Amino acid sequence: MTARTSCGGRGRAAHRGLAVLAAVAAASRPAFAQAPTAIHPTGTARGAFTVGVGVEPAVVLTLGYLRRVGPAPRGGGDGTRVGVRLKLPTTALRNEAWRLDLLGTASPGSGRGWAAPVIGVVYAVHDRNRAGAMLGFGTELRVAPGRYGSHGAVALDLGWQATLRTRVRHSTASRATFDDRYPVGVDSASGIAGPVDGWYGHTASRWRLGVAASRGAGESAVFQFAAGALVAPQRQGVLLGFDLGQLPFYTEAGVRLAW
Amino acid sequence: MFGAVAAIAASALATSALAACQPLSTEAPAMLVPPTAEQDPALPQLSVSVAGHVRALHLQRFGDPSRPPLFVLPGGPGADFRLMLVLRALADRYHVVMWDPRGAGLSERVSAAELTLDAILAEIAAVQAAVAPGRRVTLVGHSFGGRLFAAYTARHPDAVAQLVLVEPGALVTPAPRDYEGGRVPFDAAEDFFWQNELLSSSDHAAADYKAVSVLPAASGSFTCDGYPPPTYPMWRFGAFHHHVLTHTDHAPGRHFAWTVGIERFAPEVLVVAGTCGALRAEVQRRYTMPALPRARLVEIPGAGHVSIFLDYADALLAALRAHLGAYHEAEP
Repeated sequence: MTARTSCGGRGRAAHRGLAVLAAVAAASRPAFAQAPTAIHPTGTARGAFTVGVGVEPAVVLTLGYLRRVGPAPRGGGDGTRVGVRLKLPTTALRNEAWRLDLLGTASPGSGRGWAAPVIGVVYAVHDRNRAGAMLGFGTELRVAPGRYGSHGAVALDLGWQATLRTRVRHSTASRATFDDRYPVGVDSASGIAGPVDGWYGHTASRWRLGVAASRGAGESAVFQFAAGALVAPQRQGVLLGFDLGQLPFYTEAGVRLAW
Repeated sequence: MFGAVAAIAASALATSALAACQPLSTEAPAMLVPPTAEQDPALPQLSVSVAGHVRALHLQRFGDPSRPPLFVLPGGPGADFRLMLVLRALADRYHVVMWDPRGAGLSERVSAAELTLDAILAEIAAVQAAVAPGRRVTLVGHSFGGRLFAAYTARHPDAVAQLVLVEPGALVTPAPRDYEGGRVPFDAAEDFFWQNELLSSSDHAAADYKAVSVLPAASGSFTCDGYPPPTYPMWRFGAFHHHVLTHTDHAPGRHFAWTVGIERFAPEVLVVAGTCGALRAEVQRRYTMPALPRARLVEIPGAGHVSIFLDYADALLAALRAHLGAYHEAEP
């Protein structure tokens, strides 16, 4: 990992409202730009592995690899990177639960000082439980506007995620919820024969609003942390409710190793 | 800048591609979960006017309407009466009426404002006025339904002939250490949250569907061995109904004096409980019986909160028949 120049002091005096962010950034010595959370620019290093744990509120483990596309940008910055990431909950083995991301990251400009790195993700996600099996495809967009300094960064962590298509295969238990009321083939008036297998649209969406910070350790490691709100819109207005799966918070911690 | 534009463009492209075809809707009736009464006229039902709204109750009647009326109400809150269908057997002496409360089971979904205790008791009164006008009713309530029937009896003692509570939710707020009902095991909770990647609880159908996987796991706290019962007959759980009645300030799920006024109800109350799980006889003895001035507890050894209607149905029916007045009178 190669050190770069920084614009660490730029605009600090003119942005009183962001004084806290600036103060944290000012404590960092310019070395390489980095984006918190899911964004993993690595300067001139071409490849980087990431390992992280999170609570969303499902406890998850993430493993990722990012590779820079094209030459390193002139004058610093992180350019464009593409990669893959695997997210596994604690039920990965028992429930065949996983999410596989194909992702691209970009840090506009020099990637130092005030910046807003972006990550775009296309993902496949799977789960199997007593109700059935679900395979979904979706997209996620995250932006981390903040202050990127030498040995660390602090930023907002803004994101939107939507699972746009989900294939649902109902289990026997799920089909049994229609028994007694709707015996298959009997209720010709309503034509109801049980839950419908197939592709469902827009089955999940979540908004993310958090803060993130990262700190370099040596030449090739960066530790990252993020926390905040992870909210799924609920038509009845329930923001917090375990019985509706609504615990609107997340935390992430991870390390990025580059070479 | 090119990279940022490319990332956003890729996401937008993926979004467009995935959104192109015409998918199924989770909110359409009978896709993930059975339809509710107002969605399917073929369901046995009754319309009632409660809290300023006309709502469709999933309601079924068994037996001769000229016989004494006996109402059956499920618990949860949020459950339907499928588990309690075994009580159809009481139709040999009663006109048995079972229904799912508004917002629960296969009854019409309602807003939180319609799920106050006053509104729920008004719903019971509306059913009584519709199916047994001018007659006293015998009430058999399970779990949270037992609490509701106890509250109804306390408020309308002259409208009730007999009251039976099958493993009711505690009528005196139990000490937290003494009650572990509905505890969700870690694995089930993890899966419940992981599903948010695929299916968020954006509306009733999705939220109710997710209960298919998590609810049986949570019912392990109501069995002898701590494992979920092998079967848990239910058509559809009302997740929002459950949330409102257990987790909001204006709802009666917590810390409510259910039986204020029940001393005006003269007949002996029958409480039936198994010996396993969070609402077993021992818990009833401590947290239900003190709230009932005239009550008798019948234990069914080995039974739990769910299995009492399945594996122990004969013992349950025997206890009910030994208590209910119609079985001690000459056949009309």
